[in-house]
Amino acid sequence: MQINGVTIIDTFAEAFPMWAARLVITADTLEWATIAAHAATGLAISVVGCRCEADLDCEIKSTQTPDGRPGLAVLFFGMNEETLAKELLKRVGQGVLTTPTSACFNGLESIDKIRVGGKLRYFGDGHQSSKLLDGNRYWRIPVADGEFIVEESFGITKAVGGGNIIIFGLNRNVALEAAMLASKAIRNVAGAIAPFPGGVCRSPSKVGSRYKELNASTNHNFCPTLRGVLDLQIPDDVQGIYEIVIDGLNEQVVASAMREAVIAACRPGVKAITAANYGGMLGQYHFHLHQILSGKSICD
Amino acid sequence: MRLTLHFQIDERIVIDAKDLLPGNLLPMTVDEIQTISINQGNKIRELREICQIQVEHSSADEIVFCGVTDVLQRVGQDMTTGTIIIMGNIGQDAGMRMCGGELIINGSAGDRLGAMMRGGIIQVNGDAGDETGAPLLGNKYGMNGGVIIIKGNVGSYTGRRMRRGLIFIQGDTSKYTGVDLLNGTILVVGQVGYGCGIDMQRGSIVIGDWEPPMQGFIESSITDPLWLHIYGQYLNRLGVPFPKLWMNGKFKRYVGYTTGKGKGEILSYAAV
Repeated sequence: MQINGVTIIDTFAEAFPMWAARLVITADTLEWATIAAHAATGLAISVVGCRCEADLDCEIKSTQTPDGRPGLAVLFFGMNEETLAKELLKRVGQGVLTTPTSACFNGLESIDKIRVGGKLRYFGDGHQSSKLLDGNRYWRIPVADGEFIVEESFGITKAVGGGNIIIFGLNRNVALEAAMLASKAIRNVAGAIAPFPGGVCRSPSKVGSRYKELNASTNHNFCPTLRGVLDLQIPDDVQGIYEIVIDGLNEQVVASAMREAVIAACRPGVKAITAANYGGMLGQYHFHLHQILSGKSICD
Repeated sequence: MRLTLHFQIDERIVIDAKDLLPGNLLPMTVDEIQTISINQGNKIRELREICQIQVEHSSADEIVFCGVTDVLQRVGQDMTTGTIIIMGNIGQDAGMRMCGGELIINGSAGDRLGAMMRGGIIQVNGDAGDETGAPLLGNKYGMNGGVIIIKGNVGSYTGRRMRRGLIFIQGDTSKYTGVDLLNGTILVVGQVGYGCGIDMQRGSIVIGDWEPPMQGFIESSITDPLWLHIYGQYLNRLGVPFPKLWMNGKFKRYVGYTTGKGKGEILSYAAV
């Protein structure tokens, strides 16, 4: 398969089940809401080293937010409910509560819930109060600029993490430009994030290492400077490689994001696009590139 | 299905309408509805003796009361689902202990509207009487959930002892609004009468037009209460106009009641 002269390798991305939460962070201005969102999603790149993966989902217009102020939706992904709950408590408490004028609401309707505001309320040291409206409880925690409003519980849902594409470029610059366009395309897919810095990963990893202390190490198959030392799985004229990792609220969202990313990345200078997997032995979800791009069912 | 009950009554004697609920009537046939027993004063009548019944197909489950409706009492009592629309005024105890559904009164309501309500929505396009959202005599708590929206003015003891839920009054209230309030939210766009918030323990009373000072309360701060924005958005989604000035305005916050824990608050809109 070729798109705009770029070869799409007939392979699949192997992804894993995760748990996700979606929060709506508001503030007096979009600028402060963005600052709070970035603070809450900082260093949430990969569960390999961080305890969750997170990024901004989309802007929410003030008419659509619970308090009528500008807001942003942010997505968090964790390997299990308990880890996700702990991370949200920490991140909302440290990143959102501390940001001027911010407030934090649930952005995902779900039967499964985790208590975050219900635990953060103790920061009020007994001076907190709550409002119960339409079945939702909002905690009011007194702070120096008024009150921090946070919803009692956030909905969580089973999600998919680790969808990916890998871009082979003739040089680093063209590969990076393609990767940035792919990352930008993913931002337009609601419910999907690319959690690496700028959405782009320059260091694809593999499971295991020759050093027993490490769980992961550089995926040497995608390192052009090791050509000649090792037998690599990349074409001889490829000098720059970038990976886009995608987490999404469900399979369809991840597949859609992968599709948009591949299409955006197919441009001059890009030799081929592939995906990373573990032989299909580890991940529950397989996203076949050819199926995604031809619009066939992605369930495998 | 839409069921219309047109009340044609010569004697102005109170009718107990507590059984005329969507959940009860809409599953019945017309014949069954016509033979329902209704208390009119100390007499028991069949429904067909006091009203005409009309059935129409509709996507919504609703009952419409029209004609002489102001003699009806306890309309919507213990309602859990569906919609009741009153085309006129209604007597007392409307929406008492209501748990769900919607009660729309296109006129004025009598005393004890939404008394001990637990859920659902009551909208009154006219005025309401005394003890809106209050407990019945001998009971500890008033309204504990749901929303009451009143376009006009309301009588005295509105929200007395209320424990949770929301009362939104677009006109004025009479004396003793929120007296002994345990918790809950009362929003008054207009003015309040004497004794607002006396002995309140928790909860919030927001007033659009009120002249301080008020005994039993201490001025706390000037604030832009974010929680009020949430209520504003919620009411806007219901199609209820919420004062735009409140969404962007500052309020003077008073805490009280000073003879108690002082965890209640009154917010007075003040253009700062």
